[in-house]
Amino acid sequence: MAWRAAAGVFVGFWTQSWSIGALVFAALYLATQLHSLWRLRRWLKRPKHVELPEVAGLWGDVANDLYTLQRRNRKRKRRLAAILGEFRASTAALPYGTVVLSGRGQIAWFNDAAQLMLGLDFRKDVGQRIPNLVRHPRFTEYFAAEVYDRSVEVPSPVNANVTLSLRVVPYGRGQRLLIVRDVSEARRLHETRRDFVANASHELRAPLEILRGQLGTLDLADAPSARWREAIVRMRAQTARMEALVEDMLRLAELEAEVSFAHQTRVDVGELLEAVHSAAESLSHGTHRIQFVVEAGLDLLGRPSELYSAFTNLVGNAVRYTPSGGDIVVRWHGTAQGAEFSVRDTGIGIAESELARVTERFYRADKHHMDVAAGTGLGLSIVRHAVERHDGQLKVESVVGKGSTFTCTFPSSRVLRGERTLPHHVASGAG
Amino acid sequence: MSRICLPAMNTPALGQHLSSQYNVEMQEIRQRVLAMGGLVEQQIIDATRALMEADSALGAQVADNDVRVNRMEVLIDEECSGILARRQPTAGDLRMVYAIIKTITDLERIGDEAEKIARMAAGLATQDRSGEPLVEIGHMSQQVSHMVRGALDAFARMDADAAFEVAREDLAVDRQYEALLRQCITFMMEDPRTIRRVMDVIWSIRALERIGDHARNIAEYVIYFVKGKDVRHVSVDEMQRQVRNGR
Repeated sequence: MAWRAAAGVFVGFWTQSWSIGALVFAALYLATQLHSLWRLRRWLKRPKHVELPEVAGLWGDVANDLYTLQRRNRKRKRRLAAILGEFRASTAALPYGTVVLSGRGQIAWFNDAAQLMLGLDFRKDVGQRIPNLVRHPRFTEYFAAEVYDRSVEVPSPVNANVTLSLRVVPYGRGQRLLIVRDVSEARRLHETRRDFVANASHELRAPLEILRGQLGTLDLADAPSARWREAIVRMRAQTARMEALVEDMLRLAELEAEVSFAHQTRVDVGELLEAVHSAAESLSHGTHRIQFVVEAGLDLLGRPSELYSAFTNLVGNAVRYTPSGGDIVVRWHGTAQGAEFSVRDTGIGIAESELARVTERFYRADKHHMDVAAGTGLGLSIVRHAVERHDGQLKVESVVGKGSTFTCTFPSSRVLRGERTLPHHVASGAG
Repeated sequence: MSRICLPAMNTPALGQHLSSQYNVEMQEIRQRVLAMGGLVEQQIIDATRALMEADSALGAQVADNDVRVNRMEVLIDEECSGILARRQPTAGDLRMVYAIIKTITDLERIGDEAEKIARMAAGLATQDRSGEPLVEIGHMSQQVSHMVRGALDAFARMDADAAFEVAREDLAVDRQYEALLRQCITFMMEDPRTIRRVMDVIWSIRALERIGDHARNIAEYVIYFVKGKDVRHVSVDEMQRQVRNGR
């Protein structure tokens, strides 16, 4: 300050004009200020390569404040980077593939497992929309529908023999997480078991038929003694039971096979239930009061043979587990959510502890009645699978000694009302 | 001396528009093209499975599904004309729209070929199947599916090198087609009673070969979009030169 003022006074004195002196002072002052600003700017541009300029006055204060601010920011950045690094390291270590998706489904980040299973590429695919790379129609539909309450199974884009289960989890503001699991092993196991059951049952059919045939040729009147007669009668009964068992196992294996949209038609439930009714009457021999309440014109979209075996199994169970003189009420009616089929009986009922297990294969709620109720133990498994294949649910309510109510609910997407104009071959576009 | 960085020439960046709405529209159309591609990929796989496993129900389903492919083509076509009319795209965008219009035509044709195979499968399922080169057909169909997947991946990533690999794969498919054809001719010469059936098989492998050609076309549109060079009707070597040095 002092030297610039001195220079101004000197020039003013020398030229005898104070205005020129003042001008010189102002010019010098401006020049030093600009120089400080330029040094500060140079430091701000490359703070790591240029030393912090040591300037006096206001610019010095500004430089110091900037330096503190920068140091604080750098520290915060380092801390955030560490947290992010930890997050990524932990996500990368997950056995599940994880893809972070932003706004419109663009890939923001993914871990090693996802890279491997989906064939993603870090250099090319960040910013790419995920349905552009995982193009299986099932996933495309699932992703576009934006209802993520379940997962979808698709073959891996890298290897068609690998089955992946994909699930989208929405979080934050419009962000989504895609979780990828390799389920090929579980799926293969399931298929092997199903195939084994199907093959074994099929192989058992032939010897059973021979047994039954041979037993049939034996004339009871020719039997040498009462013991022989009793043995033959018992063997006949047991072969019949084994045959029923094999049939049920085959049906179950069929129901567990992959759901395909082929062979779906509009099923006239009223007509179907008439057949169920007559089957029930013949099973009951008139010992029960059986009542059918059926809403007319309410149909289902599905496979008639599966629905028939589901409904006959439920009504048959009601007949078997209800003592003579009991009441059985079968209802078929529309609801707000779709349609409902229910069977209510006044039978022996099921204990609460066993309710959850009755649909397991070969599970019998009442072990003492093994011989009385000549079922195979597969009935309710068949019902559950058949109903689930029609997007429905099976519910059981029961009180021991009072009776049980079995209810199958079907969603509205399966329910058809009114005129039967739908062609018999339903286009697979319905799926 | 500061280094001057120029943006890479001739590689149009995706999603670089002043109007973000325009951007979104282009991305949506691209996504729809790839969704159509995904459906077509599945159609090929299902059609060949129907053929291999003599599953006439699956064959009929694939044939029905072709309607969806056709519908998607019409839809995307309309959207493209909408973009052309409203946005009047230039340079990279114009090439993009052009590539999309060409690509969906080829995808639709691939769908038709898959439908042909599916119909053939539905018919063949009822006949005696001895003496058909099933393993070879399976192998060829795998290779062709791989090509279609590669072409669509290249389209999604706009990756000229990957597109070139697809085009090169077409040579192998063509060779395989020749070999299978020769095998079928031998079958027919050995036992003329099989002619009718083997003719159907020939139509199926011919359809697969055509699918390979369409996949190569899609790969060529990708190269056209990225490099701005028309590589149709040129040899693979020439194509390689264009892709590698065409900057």
